[in-house]
Amino acid sequence: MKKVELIVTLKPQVLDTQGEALNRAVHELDHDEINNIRVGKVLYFDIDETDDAKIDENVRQLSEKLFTNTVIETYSYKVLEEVSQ
Amino acid sequence: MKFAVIRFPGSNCDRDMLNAIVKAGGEAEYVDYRETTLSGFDGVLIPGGFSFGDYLRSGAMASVAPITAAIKEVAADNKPVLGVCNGFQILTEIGLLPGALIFNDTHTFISRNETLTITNNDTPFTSEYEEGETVVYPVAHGEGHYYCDDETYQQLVANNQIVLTYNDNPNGSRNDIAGIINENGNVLGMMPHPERALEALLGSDDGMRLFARMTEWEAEHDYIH
Repeated sequence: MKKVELIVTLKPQVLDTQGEALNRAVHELDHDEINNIRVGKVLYFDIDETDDAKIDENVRQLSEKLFTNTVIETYSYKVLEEVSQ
Repeated sequence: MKFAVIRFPGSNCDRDMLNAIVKAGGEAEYVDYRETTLSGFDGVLIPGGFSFGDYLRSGAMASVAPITAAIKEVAADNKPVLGVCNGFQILTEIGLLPGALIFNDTHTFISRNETLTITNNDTPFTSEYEEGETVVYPVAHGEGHYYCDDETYQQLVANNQIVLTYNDNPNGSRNDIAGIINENGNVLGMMPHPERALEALLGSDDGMRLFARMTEWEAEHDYIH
């Protein structure tokens, strides 16, 4: 069993209204050094697999079917650690 | 013509949708999202609302609901499928319509009457309207900003798939797009609510002709390519 961290972000060309609002708020807090905020989502889940190829196949399949909308989003994932059963 | 009005947890325009098609002379029944068949129905209406609480993305959870395969079959059979608001979001999520709906560019929820233009009346949904006719439908959405890439947009234009546009774009939608139809001409999605525009006394009855036209759908319709 492995723990997976899946990060979902809007494609660069897709307007991120949350990011823009945060960017304005941060500037109002006098942090002009911060820019280009983009807001994404992170999903954590356990997967009952140990084979890396199998994990890759399952994660990609579900990411494209449900976890993301590939019209507007991209994703990346990391296998974090072995989960003790 | 008997229509299925699909009910997901969080659908909230289901009664308005059923009322609209019945008022227009059609028959309709509610169908629960856990059903797996739509046999016996001549068309599908996917109502607005917040299916599954908009968890993950609006329409995402509905795209993997048990009823979804049956909706795709109805579409493949050249029967009419209309998705309004969350119904439009669901149609893009399940791949029956191209593009996606993202947050309004102001990131605010917009609920008001909008003036729109029927840009394509050469469809079996809109043939009762004049081309270029101005209509008023209410909108009520937070994620109604129509997004598609350049290639998809060129295809929409080339195939005359843009059916409805905003006269005063409220949400940042690409080229003012408010509603699109599939290439085959039998799946229509729009953010504005024609089912809330049935009575002049309440502001607009411009939605009535859309539903009236749907009740006269013919299986071997000239419009189906």
